[in-house]
Amino acid sequence: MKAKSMLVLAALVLCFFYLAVLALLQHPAVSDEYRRYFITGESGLSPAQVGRLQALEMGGTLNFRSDRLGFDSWSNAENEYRWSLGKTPKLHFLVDSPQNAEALKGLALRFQPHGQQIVRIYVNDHLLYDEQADAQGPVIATLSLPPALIRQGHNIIRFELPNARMPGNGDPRVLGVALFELVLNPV
Amino acid sequence: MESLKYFLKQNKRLLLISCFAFVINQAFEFFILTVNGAGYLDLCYWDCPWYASTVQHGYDFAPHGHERGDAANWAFFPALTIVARWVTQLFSLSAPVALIVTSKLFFLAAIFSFLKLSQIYTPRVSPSLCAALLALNPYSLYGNVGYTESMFLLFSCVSLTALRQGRFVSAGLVGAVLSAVRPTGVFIALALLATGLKSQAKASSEERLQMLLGILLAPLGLALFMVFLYWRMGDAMAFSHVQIAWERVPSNPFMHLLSGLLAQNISIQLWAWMSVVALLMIAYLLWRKEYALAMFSLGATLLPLATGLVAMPRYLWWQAPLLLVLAQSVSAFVNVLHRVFVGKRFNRQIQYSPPYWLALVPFSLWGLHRTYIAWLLQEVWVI
Repeated sequence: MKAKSMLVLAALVLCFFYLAVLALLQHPAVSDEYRRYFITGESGLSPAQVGRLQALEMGGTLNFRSDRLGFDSWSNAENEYRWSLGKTPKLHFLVDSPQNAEALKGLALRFQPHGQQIVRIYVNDHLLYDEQADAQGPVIATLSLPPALIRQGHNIIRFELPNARMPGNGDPRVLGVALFELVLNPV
Repeated sequence: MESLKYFLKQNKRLLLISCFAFVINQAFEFFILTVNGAGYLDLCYWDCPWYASTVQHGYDFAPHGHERGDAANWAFFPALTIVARWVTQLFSLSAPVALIVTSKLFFLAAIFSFLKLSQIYTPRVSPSLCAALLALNPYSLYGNVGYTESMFLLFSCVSLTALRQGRFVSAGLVGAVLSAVRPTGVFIALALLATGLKSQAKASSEERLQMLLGILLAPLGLALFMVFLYWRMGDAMAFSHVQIAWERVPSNPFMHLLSGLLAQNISIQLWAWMSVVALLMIAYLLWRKEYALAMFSLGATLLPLATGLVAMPRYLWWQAPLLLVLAQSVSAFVNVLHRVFVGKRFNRQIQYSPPYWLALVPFSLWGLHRTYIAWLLQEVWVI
């Protein structure tokens, strides 16, 4: 009888413990950036990337490794490019003054599509590029930025890649385009 | 002391076979390292430095690794690192060396525990065959490189052995450790549940309570790790959430399997076919009504498969149930060969298969050699 009581007691203690663990699971004590990147997946920009993002310097070219771009839903950089992950990868960038925001008149993105891809590019939610691209060679998407579209602070270039897919070689990533570089104010 | 003497006497033969297989494995490894001008520290690569960072500094407070700064050592379960930390303190070893030594000690113990398990589940298969299969297969590398594979195999064998002997609480306690070795360890709870459901009709009320307690104990290691992570950095599921740093986000395992089967890359195709073979082995176990083994392996196969095919060989070929089926298959194949060429049946009550399987050893060693070379060259397919 005593042994039975001990078994029941131990089982009850474990049940209560697991309930407490379940309660902890429901209430993670983490930052918003952590939650959005690691838990809900709303952001593809890790908290460390957010922390080290630097403001743009006008003119010039930012390559696929640049610290001035926040790669949201992009794979780790390879030797010559960086693959997008999923159907809506984003590039975040910071502009540190209204003058610089005004000075940014255009962007050019050079990328290689993964097979045939419909590529739509939005800047701050304005559609600026909508083309079908194939894998024949690198594509340059030149975007003319309307006045006041770029703002001081946080800006987002968002891709829509409805045909992004796994490459079929066992690589579990959903790939759309391989980004080489972003040119600011292309001539 | 008396019980130790009794244990040694009872298990003398299996202990000798285990030690012999382990020594051959170690001699082969020493030969490869020497010929290639490498040292034991060169074995600590890929995941091993992550475990070493945990041994040295404990678990991270925030992610820091990889280009995106999103990797942390939360993905690496604590049981191996706890033991390795004791080894560093006891013998004043560096963390990587302690991890390698610890994994090797677990490897030796795992061979013995696997032989004990095979005596219970597949008594007609020769222990020498089982020992050779474990110690000389191409993926036995992972028992020597500071990974959790050997500890995982040891504790799964001990838990499954206790389970077959009807010792539910012991099986659950060992299962609790197993669930702190790696995430798939928690599936030992399914093995306990399957056995419990099968045998509860004939059990007394106290036995049923023991079954329940065993099942409840099995996830304890995982739950404690979750509580620790919550206390450390605020997210009890961090071990899973941080997988994004390795681009291993769970999805449909069968999609990964299909994608691998159709892949151009030969390694990926091989891993996909290995996964298919593993699933067939699980189906065979179900057909044999070995529900505990089947359920454990089903969980331990599908969970890693859900995150992709990379590293599948080590997730598969360190699972005790799959190794048992493999040993049985080799043994059955040898029996068929004997019947065809010699024309006699064995007295199955007393005799093991003739050791024709020894002919396979050179091929297996060639594979093991290839795996070691790939490891030393840091080729991604052995990650």
